[in-house]
Amino acid sequence: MSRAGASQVKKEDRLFSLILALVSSREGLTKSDILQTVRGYSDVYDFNVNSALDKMFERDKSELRSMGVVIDTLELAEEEGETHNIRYSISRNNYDLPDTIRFTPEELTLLNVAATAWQEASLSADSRHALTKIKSLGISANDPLIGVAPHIRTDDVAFEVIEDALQNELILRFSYLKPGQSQPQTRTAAPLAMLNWRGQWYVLAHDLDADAQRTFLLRRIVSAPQRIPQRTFPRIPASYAQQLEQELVERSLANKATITVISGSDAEVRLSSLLDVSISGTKLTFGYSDLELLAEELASYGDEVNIASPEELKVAVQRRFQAVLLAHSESGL
Amino acid sequence: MSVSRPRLEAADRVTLLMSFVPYLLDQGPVSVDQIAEHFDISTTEVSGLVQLLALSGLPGGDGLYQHQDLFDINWDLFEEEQIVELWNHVAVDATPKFSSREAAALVAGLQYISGIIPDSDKSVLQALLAKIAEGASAHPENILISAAPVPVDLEIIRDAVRTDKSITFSYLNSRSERLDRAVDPIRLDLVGQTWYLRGWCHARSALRTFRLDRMNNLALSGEPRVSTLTDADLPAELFDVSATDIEVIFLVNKKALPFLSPYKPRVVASVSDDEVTVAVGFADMGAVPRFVMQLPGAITVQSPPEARELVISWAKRSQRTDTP
Repeated sequence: MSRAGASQVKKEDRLFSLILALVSSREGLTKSDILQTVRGYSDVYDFNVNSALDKMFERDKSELRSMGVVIDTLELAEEEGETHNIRYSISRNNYDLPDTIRFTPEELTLLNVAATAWQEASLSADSRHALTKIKSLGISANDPLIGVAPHIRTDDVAFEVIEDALQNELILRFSYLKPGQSQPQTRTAAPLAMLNWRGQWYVLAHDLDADAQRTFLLRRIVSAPQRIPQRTFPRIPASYAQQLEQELVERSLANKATITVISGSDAEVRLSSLLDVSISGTKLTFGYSDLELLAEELASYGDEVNIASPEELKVAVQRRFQAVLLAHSESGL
Repeated sequence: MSVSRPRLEAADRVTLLMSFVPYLLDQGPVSVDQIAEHFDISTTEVSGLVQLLALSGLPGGDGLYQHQDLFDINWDLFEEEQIVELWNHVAVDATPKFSSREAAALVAGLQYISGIIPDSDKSVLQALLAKIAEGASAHPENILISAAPVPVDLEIIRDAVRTDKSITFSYLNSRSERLDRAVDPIRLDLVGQTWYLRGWCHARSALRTFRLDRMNNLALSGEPRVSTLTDADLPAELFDVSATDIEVIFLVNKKALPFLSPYKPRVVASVSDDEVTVAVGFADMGAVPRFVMQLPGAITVQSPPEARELVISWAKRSQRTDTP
């Protein structure tokens, strides 16, 4: 292999070479071992100035982590504090998918459908990578009887930023328009989970001003969230998304609304297909997690819906019609 | 096979390189065509990646790569017959674990579509979710989508496809009329929380999209399928975006703009620091009140006057309905 034109080593070549070198080394490699020997670094290594190479190595490490490849760092007790002696390695235990995890063609068929749900988000690349790994086990999907094309909406402006903050433990500042309020507030929060529940994206976050967990609706984040520079908020690993889902389920068990709908209307069709609705003729009773949010949804059906209870819901819906009438009477014409 | 494949990035290629190793070890000699089909990438990509793999390996202490520390393939077989046979591998031989994001993307996607799994197979789903979480190198990222409920029995639709029959149902259209339909089912689409069936409508002799929650009395018909259209023949858009679009101009408070992005509004003019006018296309004027209700008071119809009148009378009517 000629190594003329050294710096032309492609990124995928460098990253794969780095994986191989770190997996095979028993005691780990120091950064200078890596920069001097691994293809893609060694070609451009310079004994005097390597700050650019250093940065590239840092980026590569985090890129490998985002591919699921965990790099361990080892520091010998007697060398503590001497960062140039930190050794890097990849353990087979962390790298290898356990032998017990295998997939059937039927499971792969389901996973193929699941992966397409993310077509417009950056998560589509991640689901594709996961499928590639599963396919390396040699299985092929069955032909499904009928095609299924799922499409989860991720077109909220804040989606990608929040998702990135989730992954990198970042803190964000954004304007939030609370349901039922007319002016947005500035919030500073560290996202813990994103949950799409009944068609709405929720963000569970640690609110730094309140020093407590708060739930936000993604589409009510009305400014592009800004990262607070140089700061992170370390998360304690937990199933925050499941916790939030559980909380919403419990809240909707505790709060019940009763409405009547016009027979054959869009409102009847849509609201009757809710998960926990009980139907008696045109009278529907169902649970809700947030009064303002429900008011927003019911108001959009206009006169197809008549609210029986609770009273606060009726008031909240009325307020919305008044706001529309006021806006349309003021602005001239 | 997917019609258009995304261009491969470095991360895609590294994942493929890691995955080729266990696959080639498991398969023995395998053609470039077969690899391309299995991983759903082009044969050109496969050839490029195989050549890169064959030259990859472990560095010696002096930064030089020695033959015995490299992957190796049967080059003659590769060059003459486009068949890949792995002769030597180093360092790795197993499928790599999933990243926390990869695991989360699959787990959330699975949970979202879980309505298509028959109730009798729900334990399969739980086992599959557990396997993916266990196969991740870090705790799966906290992203979840609750299941979208399926309002009809999908087994009837699957039976129809299996036996080449059509289905019948009574359908409530958007004008509140209920009509009986005979349809050849082609594909299920899930958008947000709403399931749709796309199929060939016998009465109209045309492709139609039906909401599952507007169907009643779904049954397998004795009639055979009449259409030979498949999944691949369907247009990407769920509904016809016809030329008869009605354009409505709104005055919008800037804080409401993020709400409107799914409607792809066109900003017409900036009116003040807080307000802009935008143009949005509608297939049906009846949808304008619901659009305005996304943020009541912050979205005002400017023109046409009919749309403005419609919103005002709609709001007045709605207000009366709810007055105790």
